Amino acid sequence: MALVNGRYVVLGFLDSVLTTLILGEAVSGTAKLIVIVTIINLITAFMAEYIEERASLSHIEKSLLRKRGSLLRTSLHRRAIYDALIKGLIFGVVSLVGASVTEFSMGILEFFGIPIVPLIVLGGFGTLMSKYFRGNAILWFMLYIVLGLTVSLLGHVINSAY
Amino acid sequence: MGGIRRVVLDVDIPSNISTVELAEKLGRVSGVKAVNVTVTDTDVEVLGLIVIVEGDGINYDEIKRVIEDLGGAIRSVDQVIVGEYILEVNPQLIRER
Repeated sequence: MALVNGRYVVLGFLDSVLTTLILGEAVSGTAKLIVIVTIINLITAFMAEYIEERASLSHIEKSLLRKRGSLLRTSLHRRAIYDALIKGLIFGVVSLVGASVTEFSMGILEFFGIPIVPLIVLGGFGTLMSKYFRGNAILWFMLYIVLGLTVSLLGHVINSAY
Repeated sequence: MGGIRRVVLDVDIPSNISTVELAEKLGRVSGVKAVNVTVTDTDVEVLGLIVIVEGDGINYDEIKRVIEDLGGAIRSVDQVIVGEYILEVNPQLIRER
């Protein structure tokens, strides 16, 4: 069974929040951006995981001296698809949450055009994740805020340039 | 004469497959009364096993299907006992050969 590991939670949330922050002004329509971010992340995570699982199956086939593709009709392959689906789904759902929270809270409080609420949410997420590996909560709170701030400013620069 | 009573197999399976899962699945095959899965060799990707299945009228095709469905490969069939009772081999006879 697929393990619900931190990788896809961090990747999904961070990716969706940062993408929404950077594209927030460029893409009109709240739902449109959320749907785009969620679907792209879901598909990319599934494909990335599936390719990795197939490569692993190919190595096993070699070690077992079995014909290439002979493991495709086994429960091992079905398990690989299931694992990739679960990981893709985790990535998609976390992305949906991240993109929705960012998109709906972007306009609540702004300071010189910088959305404050998503940055605080991002900082809170960083703190939460630091507990996952027993890291320094303040350091990771600040790091995520700086990351959000940088991406937000980058979004402004890109949007004003084009 | 009865069906298969014992099969001893030399099997390789991917190391990410649980030997407990394999033993449980083999135990559900029709005719099987006892299963012994012993690890004889460990590699990064492959586990070498000796699988002993005992019962009454064991369905060998199903045994093979269970092992292959888990990605395993039967390297050799080392012993098969068929009949009304288990006829043990005399180790002295093997040594004298």
